[in-house]
Amino acid sequence: MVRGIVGIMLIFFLMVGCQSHPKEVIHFPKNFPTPHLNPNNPVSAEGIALGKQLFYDPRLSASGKVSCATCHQPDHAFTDGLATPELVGHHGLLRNTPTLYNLAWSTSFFWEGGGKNLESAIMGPMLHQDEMGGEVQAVSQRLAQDMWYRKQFAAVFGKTEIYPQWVAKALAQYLYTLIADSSKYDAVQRGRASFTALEQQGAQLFEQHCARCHPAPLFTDNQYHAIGLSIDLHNDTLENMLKGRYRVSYKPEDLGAFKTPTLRNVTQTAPYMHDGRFATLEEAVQHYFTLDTTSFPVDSLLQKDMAQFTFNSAKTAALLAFLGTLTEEKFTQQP
Amino acid sequence: MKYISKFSIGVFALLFLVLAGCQDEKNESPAAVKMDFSFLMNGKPLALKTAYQNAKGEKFTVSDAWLYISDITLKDATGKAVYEDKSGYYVIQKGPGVEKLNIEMDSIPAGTYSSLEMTVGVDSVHNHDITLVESGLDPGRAWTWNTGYKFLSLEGTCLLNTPDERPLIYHIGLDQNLKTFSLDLTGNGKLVPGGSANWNVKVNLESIFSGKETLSFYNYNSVKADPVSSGVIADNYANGLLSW
Repeated sequence: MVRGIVGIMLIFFLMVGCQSHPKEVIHFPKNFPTPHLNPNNPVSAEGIALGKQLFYDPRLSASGKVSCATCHQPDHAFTDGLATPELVGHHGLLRNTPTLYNLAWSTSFFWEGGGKNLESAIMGPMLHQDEMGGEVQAVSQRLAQDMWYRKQFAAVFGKTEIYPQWVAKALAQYLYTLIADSSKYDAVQRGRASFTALEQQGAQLFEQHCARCHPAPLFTDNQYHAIGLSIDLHNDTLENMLKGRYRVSYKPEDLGAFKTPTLRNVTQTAPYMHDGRFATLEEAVQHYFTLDTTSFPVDSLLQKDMAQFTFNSAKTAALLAFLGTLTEEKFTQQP
Repeated sequence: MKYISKFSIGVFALLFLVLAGCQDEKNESPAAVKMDFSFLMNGKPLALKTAYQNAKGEKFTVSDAWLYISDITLKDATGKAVYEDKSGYYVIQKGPGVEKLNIEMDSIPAGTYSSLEMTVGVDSVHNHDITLVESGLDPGRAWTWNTGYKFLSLEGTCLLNTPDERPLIYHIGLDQNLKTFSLDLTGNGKLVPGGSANWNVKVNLESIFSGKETLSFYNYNSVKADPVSSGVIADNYANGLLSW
């Protein structure tokens, strides 16, 4: 009798124990900081699958021709190889398409940081006239005619209606899975590979001059800095779009500041900067050697970092070699 | 199982009846209110595309005006919120081919109310995440590049004495610009059980252009997410945008 009771209690506690440690839906690397997920958008396997399907679906646009993947191409590290996109029949856009890796660690989104969370940021391109056309209610109705979507949305969100807000939430769940953590750099950190001599040199230069804003393991600090890019800061047109983060924060120190992009897969995300002005990585790296601190805003700490730096082509080659170790081939095939 | 006696069943049944009875303290039917909004400019019904003058004598026309109303609350004489609609967001609009001018409220406890409160805008929780679904929240009325809803939108043209007419675009949002209005219901606040009332609320658009600061279109023709200039406009209309 006693053994029976003990047995039942043991099974009970085991079951309760198992339930309080559910299997991880997304495996976040242990050596990365804690991710910032949105408590309003709990991640599930069904949500991720739904988001993945939506990401590649051109029905999300008013024209039926533009999907997220049109500009965020997986074989281009989720960028499009253009300085700024021009979608057929629309006005050209003014910003370089950013990569979508490691967004689970960002706390603000877009080059100026106006997006407060990933889900809300995703609504931006959906609503924009010149990106996906803005007819989000019509898009939702179109998706609702597809039985697969109806079933999936019901499974994830518990209702038979499809709201544009839930389209954004599902997309976010997929984006949280786009984790870049398996480059040669990471293998070296894990003791499974070694840098070449040139890469090692580059790593040291990087640590001295670049790692303040581009620290490992994310290779971005997810902050906003002015780096001396030539910008017309007296131009009030385009609703302050030319003024960088100032457009959002209205703080004078944010004039000309843009979000630090991740350098993971940087060899695959040309061209570079918020407006794609540098066609090659070499040009982007060399920009830092010729900072004009008098004409355009430059972050004061960056000025310090670069003050001791004397340019030579060997150093450029070493830095480029190191940056090449941040490349990984994951996600390059469209499913 | 053989330990549940008839006595226990009787006690539980009695408890149940008492509790059930306690739930309808007031067995009265609720009341309903229909609020009708009207957009006015200087006391007269707003006419779209008609030339008006601001306090500085500068001419302008309006092509579209709308605002978000939320957190509708009815308070009694002690200031207690007896009815509060925390999950309803209502667009009141007059624009080209669009008129949204009513809010219908039902399930209001019958009683005598002293004030009606309404917020122009969206609370900060919903303003920071435009993927939260609530009745009336329309992501198309949020900014694409700076997460948050527009609380008040006024669009038209500034007819200045310059070669180029400037657009008039006030898109006022941001948490700092949330404004609550309190309208007095003394003498008119009795709602009888099962009854319905009609309340007419005026949206006095001229309050946008003056109050704390008298605006000139030379400085204020397009205002969006700038905390300083949007704050000036919101502080203007905080005084008098909504009235009986």
